[in-house]
Amino acid sequence: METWRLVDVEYRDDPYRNMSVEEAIPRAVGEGEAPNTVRFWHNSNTIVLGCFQSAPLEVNFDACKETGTTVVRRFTGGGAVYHDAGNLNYAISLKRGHPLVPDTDLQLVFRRLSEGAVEGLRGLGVNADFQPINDIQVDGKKVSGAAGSIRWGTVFHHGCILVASDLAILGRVLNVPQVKLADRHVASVQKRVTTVRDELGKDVTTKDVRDGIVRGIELSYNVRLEEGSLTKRELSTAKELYDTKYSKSAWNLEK
Amino acid sequence: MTPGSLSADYKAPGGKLLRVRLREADGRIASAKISGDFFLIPEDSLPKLEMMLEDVPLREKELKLLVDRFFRGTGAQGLGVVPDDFVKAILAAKSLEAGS
Repeated sequence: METWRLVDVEYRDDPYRNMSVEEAIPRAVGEGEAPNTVRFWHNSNTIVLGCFQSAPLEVNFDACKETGTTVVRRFTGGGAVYHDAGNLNYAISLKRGHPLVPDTDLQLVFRRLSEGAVEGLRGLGVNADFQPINDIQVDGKKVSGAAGSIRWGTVFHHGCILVASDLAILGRVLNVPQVKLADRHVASVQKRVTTVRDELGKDVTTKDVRDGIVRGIELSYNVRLEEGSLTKRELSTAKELYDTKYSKSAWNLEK
Repeated sequence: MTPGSLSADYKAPGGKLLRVRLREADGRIASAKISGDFFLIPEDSLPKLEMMLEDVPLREKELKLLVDRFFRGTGAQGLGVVPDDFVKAILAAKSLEAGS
């Protein structure tokens, strides 16, 4: 049975550093400097923009200031998401060419690499399903969004799972374009998303969900996850990315 | 002539949003900024498309040719958007201006 590395490296109060690590890992995996890896992590109040999004169009900066929300841009496409301590992030980095996933079709990557999270949520009692393009839904409501890329010699997939997030803040800090809302026939962000806690009707921790997804990944892909740490190379890459990219407003805000 | 600003938010049938902000002069694109929640790999190809759009007439035929050339030339792959959505988003900005 194949073994993948499991890392719980996070900087809850430093979303810029979190995002630096998020990029350093797939770079190292693609270079053969690190094994195939699953990472779990949290951010405190943060908007994470997709790499093609315009910060002024997507972000309500006044609400961010009032709620102490930071804005960071990720290196993958897709839409803005709101992170807080009730939100669990996971990322899967597989060396390109891995038989589990195609390395040319991003839609298939999303579908295949969401299976572990779907399986994990179902194991906890959540009636989750993958919903193309990049969501996991429960009865039509989004509980997780994913993004990913095929670059640096790596197939990369990451997602955020709303475990017990503050949906009221989420609705304030993101400007959702009317054209998106109208299409879904709903009035607000809050009404088209849900949380694991709300679906289960009881308190659940992000640790519970993390452990469930570890099991889901092991079952879905027939692999064993073994706890590990970042390599020196990954740490130095992350530092460089932090210094030159993710701590800079030129990257985070100026598109 | 001072370039005019055009903009449109275009929801692609594939589910993703293209937000186009253009400056136009004499019927041509002076500059183009495309943003949105779509996927496009390689990710660093988008600035190339924006650059290629400069000085292109704001007409469907020329825009189609240009966008097709971009996708063929770069091998870029969209998800949630197809090449024609970029053309439609730009034309939507033009038509919104005409209607304003």
